[in-house]
Amino acid sequence: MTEQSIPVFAIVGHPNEGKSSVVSTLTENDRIGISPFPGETIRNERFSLKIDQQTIIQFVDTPGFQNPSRTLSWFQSSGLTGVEAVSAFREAHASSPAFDHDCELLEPLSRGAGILFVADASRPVSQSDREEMEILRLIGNPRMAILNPKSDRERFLDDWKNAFRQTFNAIRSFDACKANFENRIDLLEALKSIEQDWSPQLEYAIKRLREERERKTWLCVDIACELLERSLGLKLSKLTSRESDAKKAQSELEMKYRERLASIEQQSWNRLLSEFGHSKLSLSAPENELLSEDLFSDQTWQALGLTRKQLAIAAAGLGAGVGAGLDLALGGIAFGVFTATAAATVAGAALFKGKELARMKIKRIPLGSYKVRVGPNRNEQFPYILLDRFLMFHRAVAKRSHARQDREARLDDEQAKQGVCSQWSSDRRSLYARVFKAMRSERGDSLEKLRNDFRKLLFDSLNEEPST
Amino acid sequence: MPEPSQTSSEPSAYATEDSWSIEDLIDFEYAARLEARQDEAEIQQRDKGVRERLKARPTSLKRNRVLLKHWLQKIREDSFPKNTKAGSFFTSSFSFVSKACAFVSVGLGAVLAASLLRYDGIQAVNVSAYIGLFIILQLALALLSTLLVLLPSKSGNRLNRFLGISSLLTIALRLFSYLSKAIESKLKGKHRNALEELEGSLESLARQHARLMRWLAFSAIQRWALAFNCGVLVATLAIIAFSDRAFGWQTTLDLAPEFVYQAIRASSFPWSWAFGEGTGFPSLADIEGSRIVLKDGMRALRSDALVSWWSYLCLGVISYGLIPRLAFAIFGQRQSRLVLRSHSFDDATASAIANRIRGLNIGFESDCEAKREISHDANSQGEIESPRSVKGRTLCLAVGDFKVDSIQSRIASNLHVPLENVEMHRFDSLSDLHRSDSIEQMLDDFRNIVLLHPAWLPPIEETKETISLLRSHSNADTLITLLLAGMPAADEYEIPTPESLNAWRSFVRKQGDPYLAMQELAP
Repeated sequence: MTEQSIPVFAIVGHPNEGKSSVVSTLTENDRIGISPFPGETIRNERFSLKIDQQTIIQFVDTPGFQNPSRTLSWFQSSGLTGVEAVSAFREAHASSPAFDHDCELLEPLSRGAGILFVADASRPVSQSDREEMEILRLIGNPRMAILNPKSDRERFLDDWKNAFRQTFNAIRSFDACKANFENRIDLLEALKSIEQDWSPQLEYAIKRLREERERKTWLCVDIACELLERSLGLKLSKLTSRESDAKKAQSELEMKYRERLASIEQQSWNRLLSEFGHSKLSLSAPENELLSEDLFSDQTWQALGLTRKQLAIAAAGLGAGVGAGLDLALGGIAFGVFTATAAATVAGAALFKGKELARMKIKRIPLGSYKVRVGPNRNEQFPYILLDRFLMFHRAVAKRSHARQDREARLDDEQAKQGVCSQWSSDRRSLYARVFKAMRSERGDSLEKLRNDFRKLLFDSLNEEPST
Repeated sequence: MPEPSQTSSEPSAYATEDSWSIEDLIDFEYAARLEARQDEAEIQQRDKGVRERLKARPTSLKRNRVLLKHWLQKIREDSFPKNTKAGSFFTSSFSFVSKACAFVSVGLGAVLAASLLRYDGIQAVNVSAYIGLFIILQLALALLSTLLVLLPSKSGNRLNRFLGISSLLTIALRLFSYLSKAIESKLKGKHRNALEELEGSLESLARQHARLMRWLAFSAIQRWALAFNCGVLVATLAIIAFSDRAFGWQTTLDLAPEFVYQAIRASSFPWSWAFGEGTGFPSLADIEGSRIVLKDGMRALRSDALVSWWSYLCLGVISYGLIPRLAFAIFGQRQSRLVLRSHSFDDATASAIANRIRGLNIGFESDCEAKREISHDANSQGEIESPRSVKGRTLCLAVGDFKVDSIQSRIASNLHVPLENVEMHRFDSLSDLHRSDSIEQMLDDFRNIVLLHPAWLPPIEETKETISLLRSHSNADTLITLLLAGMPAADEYEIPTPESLNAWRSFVRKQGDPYLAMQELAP
């Protein structure tokens, strides 16, 4: 795609209507200066929507209109229209500081940029808004109106729509602070209708955006796999010369083990934030729930991971698999006793021994020293909680608009209750249980056999909307 | 502004309440800005305290300057121990700088005089340089200063501008504005706003207190000049008393000694009645005898004529340096006091605080209570002087889709003016207002101008232009109030959001107009 054929859209409107927020969301760029105070943007800034270093659409964030009445008067009295009028206006007012912002915002329009007129639909339509719309109508570039409501107030919505109908080729509602990926795609789809010539480029941009989204999701699958593998396989050990030191080292090692688990999880979250372009966001989950002493309190068990019953069933499924192997080996003469016994044993273990986070051992080794070892993780519930938290985190990050200005966010209790593992089908839970077992075992070949199925399943899980 | 006479009942108390020092004024400006960041409950509590304090003296409520002095006293007691006292910081810093400059001036005068009186025994000291610098130049400066003081204020201002005295402030402000514009594109919006607000605040202070600052600078300069002359005089007297000096004069021109004599005699006019020829200034014979001709050398000069000049030099410094500077310093001091005494405290910030304490501004329950208390006191002690906004008729210019008939009574109650005193005109847009032919005529007839504007539309360049238009057709001290209405809801208008009010507050601060106020349209 050549630079000339890249569609360019100027985001214009009255000051403080959320123009920069719209650009920020559309370009997935959280570094754009956004302020609740009018006058943040004083110069045009071009932001490109890039995929693989290739610009596919360009948006120009502009300052707000400062002199709509006088600008319109000039346009009307000049008798000029179109790009010619814009150039003449800019030339006539180039030396007037009062028209600095107006000249600046009209600059991309003089080069034929498409117009995205942003208005806060939660307030009434004013005479200034009508004047601004009339200026844009006289300029005549392809244009679309974007209703970006700053609050839930809807009583002025019809007034806005009526006002827009007379001037714009298309009208869209787009809440810059709540818009997700699909909303962005919808907006780009709608842009195709304002100028037919841009349709192929926009079509291409939408296709590339969808591909990029899929690539990101697969990357998240890899991040999740790595998180689970590293967490479940984590082992720490320490050598001491005396048994009393070994006891002390045991508690230190346990603390270190928990810290390492938290660090592995944080690293995966940071990678998610970076992939989705949230460079300034600090998103945290309730820390102590995962690794604090009361991790396996009833409350936590109810909120994340599987329920006790689901966990027992999943574990029983695994045990039954082993027992069935023995039954088969004996040619069925045990009448399935091994299957039943193994299933019951494993299920019981999952229920009653599940509260330990990791296996802890002090082993006397030759030459009179002691080896303290923590890990690998043996808790049945742990990977489900870890995965649930990852899915929650992913959902929050992937859906989060880049226009939001709260730099610190927290997955609150409400979100924590939206755990997805417990809502899975038994088949899916069974596959997950097998994968987790394979991850814990030292044999890499069993995990490799399951990896593809697991990745596909995880991909589906990442794309699923939570059922509320 | 004419000073109101003191009340006979409590003259001494009134005099204290009424007097404002520079320290008070700075503290007031500081406290008023500090209050903008304070909690509403805290403000109300303090207002109540001020009202309590004035319960026994209801007459103090009449005038802003008295009322605000009490408010300042209260705020000093409540908050200032925790904060820097801006006024005392300024006065002590100013005093220190002033003393340091005076000390330097004394030294500079002494050194300059000593260098001009250097004598090596080979050639007599040429008095021309001493006379030129310490007498003729000082005479010229004294004449200029007299012109500044005596000329009518308009011509005086022009001269002031020409001499650069009052424009120093303007230059400083322009420099600040230039620098801030140079860096504003590199700043974030928040910081850019803060800078523009600071610029506006400085401009507002300069416009409000320019006269005071000018006289303050004038008297300080006079004091330093006085110190300089003291240094010159003391050094001259010391050199004459404790060393041998021979004075003479020289010229290449064909100048007759008679001409020099006439000039010296004329310049000795201020003291010649007390110290005559030969005592206060040299005689013709002395002038002839002290003319230096280099080829003839010292021996050709008359010894008695060589010492005849010293009294003239000293009396010249006293008459053209010391005395005028002393007079100007006293005059400048007096003018500063007069400006302080005539400061009316009717600007937007002061009026808003005073009206709020009187309970005439916002419909808080406590304020209504206070209003009742005040009315009761007024009935028993005589009528309270109306706040500024109540005086005369109010012109309200509504810009936007306002229903004039339904909103007029609400505006009247918000501004505390009788409904019949409010004249309303509605315009669809600011450009309609600009295009209106009758706007100039309208503005001439009113002392209070109100611009009713939707709070939810942020201020833009056209708003600024409108304020400039209104100001250009009204007096510099006409109160222009931006009355901000919330969004329309059925038959009412909502209360404006804090975010929108903050944007407008910032806009008002940036304008640097002390008589531009902002008020929300309360239900």
